[in-house]
Amino acid sequence: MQEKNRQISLRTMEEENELITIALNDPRHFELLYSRYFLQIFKYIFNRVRQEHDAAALTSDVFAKALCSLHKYQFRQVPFVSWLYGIARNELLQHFRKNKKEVLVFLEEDQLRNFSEELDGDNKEVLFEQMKTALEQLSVEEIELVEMKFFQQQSHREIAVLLNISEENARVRTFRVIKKLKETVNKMNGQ
Amino acid sequence: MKIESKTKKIADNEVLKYKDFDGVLQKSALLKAASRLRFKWIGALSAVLFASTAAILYFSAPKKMEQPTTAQLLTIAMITPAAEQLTVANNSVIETANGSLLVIDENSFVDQNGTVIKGAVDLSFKEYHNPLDQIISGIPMTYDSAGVQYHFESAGMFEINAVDQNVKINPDAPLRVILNSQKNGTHYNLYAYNKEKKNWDFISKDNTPADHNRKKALKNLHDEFAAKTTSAQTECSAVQSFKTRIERTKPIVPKEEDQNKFRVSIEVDATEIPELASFQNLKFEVLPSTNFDARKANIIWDYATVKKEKEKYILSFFKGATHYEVEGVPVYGEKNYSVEKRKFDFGISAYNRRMDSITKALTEKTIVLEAAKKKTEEIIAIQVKEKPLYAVDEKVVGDAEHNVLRAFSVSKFGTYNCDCPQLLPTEQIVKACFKTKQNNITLNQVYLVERNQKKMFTIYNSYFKTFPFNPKNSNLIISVDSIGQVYYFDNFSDIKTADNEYAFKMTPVNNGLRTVAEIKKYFNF
Repeated sequence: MQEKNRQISLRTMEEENELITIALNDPRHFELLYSRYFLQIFKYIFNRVRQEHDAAALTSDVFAKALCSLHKYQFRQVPFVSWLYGIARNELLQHFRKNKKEVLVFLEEDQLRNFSEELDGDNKEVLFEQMKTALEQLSVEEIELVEMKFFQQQSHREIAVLLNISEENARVRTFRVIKKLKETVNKMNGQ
Repeated sequence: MKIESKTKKIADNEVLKYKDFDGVLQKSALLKAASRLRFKWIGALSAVLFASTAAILYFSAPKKMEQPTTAQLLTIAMITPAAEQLTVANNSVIETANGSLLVIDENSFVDQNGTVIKGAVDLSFKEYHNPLDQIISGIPMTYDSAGVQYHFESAGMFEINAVDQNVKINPDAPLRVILNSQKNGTHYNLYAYNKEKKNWDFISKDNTPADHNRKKALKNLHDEFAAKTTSAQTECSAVQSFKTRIERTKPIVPKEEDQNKFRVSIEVDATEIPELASFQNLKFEVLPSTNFDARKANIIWDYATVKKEKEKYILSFFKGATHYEVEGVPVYGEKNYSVEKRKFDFGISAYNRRMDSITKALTEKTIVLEAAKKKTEEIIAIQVKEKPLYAVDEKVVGDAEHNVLRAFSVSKFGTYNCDCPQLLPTEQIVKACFKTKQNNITLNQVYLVERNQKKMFTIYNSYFKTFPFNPKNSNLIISVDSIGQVYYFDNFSDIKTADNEYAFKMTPVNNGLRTVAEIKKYFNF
């Protein structure tokens, strides 16, 4: 598994909160936060829609909506990007609903391989394809949880904010999904 | 949920080219304006609002932050119907929800490199058939020609785009879009919207005949593809027959004669056995069989022939009334063999080349045939489905009565229109101001709709001093103020012929309209 690369200090979070307060008076100050998280949100969306122009339009919508609703933002000691992910998640759901398309999740192959290896540490024979099949059997909510926890490396606290659940609940749900994945893979191997 | 893993990563520099903070600011400003609208349903339909916002930006795309225009505010205030999503295969005739037809050829779509796309392509298709549709589309419905501004009287407009921006239309194999126009008449032209110039480009006069109703148009289309099917069938049969003829000329591998077997020299008729035509000094070696009698070799026969039956060479010997038949294979003497082998090598190579070319031609013609057949069948399916629309005497009944199918050749994605440019009405002119019951209101532009004529005029505030209209028509004014409140006025009977000034008392639209159908009903379209 990759090292967590998104550790954001409490000080940075507080600094972000200050920026938001300033941006409430002058939206142009929102540009710093936009620049900081544009790439991250774009890639999150692109991994679902796979069309650059669609991803660009949706990313723009996410930030416009965030800016429009900035007065509703409440600092809960998680990075501002968690709030953006929540908006992006809603935008994507609307996008898929509007276009009547099946929800797709695009996971980079090397990330998925790392994930397979880590999850099945005792059984090196677990194949990458098995993990893919096992993931496909999860519900939309469960796969989202895996994606947030292991591919975006979000903390349980961030997941909790995003899904509007308690931190403990986020931890329990993640644990259950991992257990379910392992059981599915074991079943495939006849264990 | 489906998991895809074999994906290419997108590079950061590729992503960063989409960074546009000004665009975000602008969208946000539009959203804020929209949120102030008094329509209660706006919030519940934020998805539609976002789609509308995207559409506005698509058409206006200004770089600086500025106030939304009347058209933009109206687009936000009213629900823009979602585009129809169509998955189209090559060589097909697709019918849209509105009854228009898309005729797709074998090579209609290409990628950015110009390579023909063989699989299905996802398109978005949107039709506009009356002034209200056009108002809420946000697409300018005026046309500047030689410095004169005209207003479109539209017989139908459509937007066609690929969902994947990398897909283009092959200019060598344009799509045919046959718009189910709800207005008849022969005074229309075809236009394409030019996003760069923000004006319409004239394409051609619309040559649709006056009596080209839907039934007739479908029949013509059917006949066109049925004729193509017949023609392609004839060509396929001709090529197939030629192929069969050529197949018979395939040279056979020469065999060296066996000195221990019976052999006989017989002249070969090239028309009967073309595969042996190029060989000389040919002999036939007699195959051992139940009716072979070695003693017959000592008879001096009057003459002998060779014929081919079921891939076998039958040698026939005649003497008077005696007739004797035996099977044989062509062979060559030792001294002739190498020459004949070289002839065979040359002959088989020429034969293969010829066959390849014939097979290729046959494949191409079969594709054309199958495509024409498929399209014919698809048109028949549409005709069968529409049968209830037609009365026993074959006249069109119901809504389709005035429908006319108007054909566009579309060689690039975009917005197309079948229109007749009109000048503003001149029947009556007043100095106009606009107010509600209590207050004056400031409007940047209004739309004057002639409901009975299905015509729409865009009147900018610079024309308010000389506001033109035709009092004989069923007129309607629609506009929106700077905070997104929509107003209308349709009480034109109050305006006296002698009035030089008139204050239009606008009614705010705030009764919670939810769907386009409701809005149309409300405005009596």
